Amino acid sequence: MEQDRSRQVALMKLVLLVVVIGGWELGARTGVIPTFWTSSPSLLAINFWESLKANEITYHTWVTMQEALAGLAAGAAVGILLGLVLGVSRVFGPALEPFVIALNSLPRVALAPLIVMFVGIGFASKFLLAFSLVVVPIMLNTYEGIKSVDPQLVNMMRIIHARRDQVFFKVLLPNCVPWIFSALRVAISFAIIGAIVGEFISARAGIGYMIDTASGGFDTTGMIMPLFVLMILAFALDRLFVAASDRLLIWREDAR
Amino acid sequence: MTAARKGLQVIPGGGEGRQDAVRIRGLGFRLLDRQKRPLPILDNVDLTLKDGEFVSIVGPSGCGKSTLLNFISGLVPVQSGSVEVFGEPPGGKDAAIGYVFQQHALLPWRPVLTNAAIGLEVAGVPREERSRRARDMLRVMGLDGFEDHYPREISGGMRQRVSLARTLVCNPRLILMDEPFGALDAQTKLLIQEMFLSYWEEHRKTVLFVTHDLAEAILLSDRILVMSSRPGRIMAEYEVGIQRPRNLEQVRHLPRFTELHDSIWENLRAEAMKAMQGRA
Repeated sequence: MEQDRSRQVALMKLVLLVVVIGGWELGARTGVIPTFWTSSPSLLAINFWESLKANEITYHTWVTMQEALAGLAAGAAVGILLGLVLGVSRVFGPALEPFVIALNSLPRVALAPLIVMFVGIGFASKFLLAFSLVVVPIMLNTYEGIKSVDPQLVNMMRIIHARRDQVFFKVLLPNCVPWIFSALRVAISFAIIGAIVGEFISARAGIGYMIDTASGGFDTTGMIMPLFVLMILAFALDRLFVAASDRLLIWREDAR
Repeated sequence: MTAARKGLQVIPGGGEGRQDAVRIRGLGFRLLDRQKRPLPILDNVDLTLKDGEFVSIVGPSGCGKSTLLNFISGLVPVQSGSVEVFGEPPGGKDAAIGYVFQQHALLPWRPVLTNAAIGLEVAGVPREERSRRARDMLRVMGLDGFEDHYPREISGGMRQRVSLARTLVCNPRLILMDEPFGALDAQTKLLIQEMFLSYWEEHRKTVLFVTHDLAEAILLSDRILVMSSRPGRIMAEYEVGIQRPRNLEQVRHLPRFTELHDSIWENLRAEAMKAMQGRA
C-alpha cells in the first residue's frame, strides 16, 4: 500500500515535469507561446550550454553563491549566538525582544541602497544584505528554542544538582537544535535573495548582475536561464539540508 | 482497631536514634491570584518522615500535594515554616534526593541509556562506570534491550520505568514521587507497582509518594497521610500495618485493605467534593 503510493507519487512527479517542460516547448514551437516573452526550454538549454562553454554562468553562480553562503554562515553564527544569549539572560532577552521584532518586521531588502551606500558595490554589500536577512530569523528561532524548553526538564536537572553550564549544554542547547535547523532551512533562500537583490542594485558580477544585464537587452532567455540555475542550486541545497537534519534529528516525535 | 488518628499530630522524631528523613513544621504557602489577593495553598503543614519509611499522601486535586514535594526538594524556596531534609535545609548541594515526576521528564534527544545515566553524568561519574550502573538498573526495571531507543520509540510505561531507573541509579536517600504511575493504563500500572515494590522492599529508601489512587497508597505504603482541599493541611493519618514483603494481589483481598480503603475514602470524600465544587 505505502510502497504503491510512493511509486505513484514518483510517477506523478515525472509526469508533471514532462508535461510542463514538454507543453512549454511545444507551445513555443507552434507559436502559441511567444518565445520573446517567455523563451522556451530548448532556447534555455542552448543558452545555458553557450554560457557554460564561455565559463560565464559558472563564474557568476560562484560569485552569488559565495556572497549568499558567506552571509548565511555569518548570519547563522551571529544569530545563534545572540539567540542563546537572549534566551539565557533573564534581563536582556525580554528587554531586547520588542526591538528585535520591530527590526524584523522591517522589509530588509529596503535596506539595500543604504548598505550599498555604506560599504560600496563589491562583495561586502551583498554579503551584508544576505547577513541582515538571515540573522534575525535565526536569532528569534534560537531564542524561542530556549524559551520553549519544558520546565520539568530543568527541574529534573536541578534535582540532580546540575550546574548552570550543565543545564545549558545538556538541556537548553539540544532543545534549540530543531528550532535552529528549521530557521536555517528558510535562511538558505533568504541568503540567496539578499545576494541577488544586492546585485540588482549595483554589481559587476553574479546571477543578479546577469539577469539585470540581460533585461537591458530584452533578452528573456538570458534572464530566465540564470534563474533556473539558481532554482536548481537552491533546491539541491534544501534537499541536502533536509537529509542532513533528518539524520541529526532522528529523535524527534514528528520527524519533520 | 483502626490506627487512624484525626487532626494534626506530631510524631515524636528520632525515636530509635535514627535521624528523621524529613521534618516539616508549620509550613505555609500562599500565592497571589489574578486580583492580587493572597490565595493560601498550604496551611500549617506538619510532617515527619522516618528514615526508611514509605509514606503516601492522598488528597483531592489541587490541594498542594505536589507543592509540598517542591518544598522538600528545594525547587521552591520555603515561604513560612520550616523544612529539614536529613537535618539540613532543602536543596543543599549534598542532598541525595530523587524526584520522580508525573511526566517522565526524559530528554527526548537522548537514548534510554544516557537518559538513565544523566544523574551520574552530572555528578561526574566516569563514562564506563555510569554506563554499567545505568545498564544494571535498566535491567532491574525490565528494560534491557531498549538502551538505544529514543523516548519517542517506547511506550509510556517504559518511559516511566526509565525515569524510575534514572532516579534509583543515583542511589538517593529520599525519593519524592509525584503521581508517578498516574498517567499509565491499569495493567501497566499494576506491573510497575509490583516492580517498584519489590525494589523498595529490598532497598528500603525513604519514599514520599503523592497519589490520588487510594488502593495504590495502601498497597505500597507504611503510612498514609490525608490532605484536605485547599488550603492543604494534613487532616488524618493511617498506619497501613500490612506485613511485608507484600503481594499486591493478596493485599487487595485482605480485610484490612477494604477497611482502610473505606475509612480513608470516607475522610477524603467530603474534601474531594469541596475541591470539585471549588473548580466548577
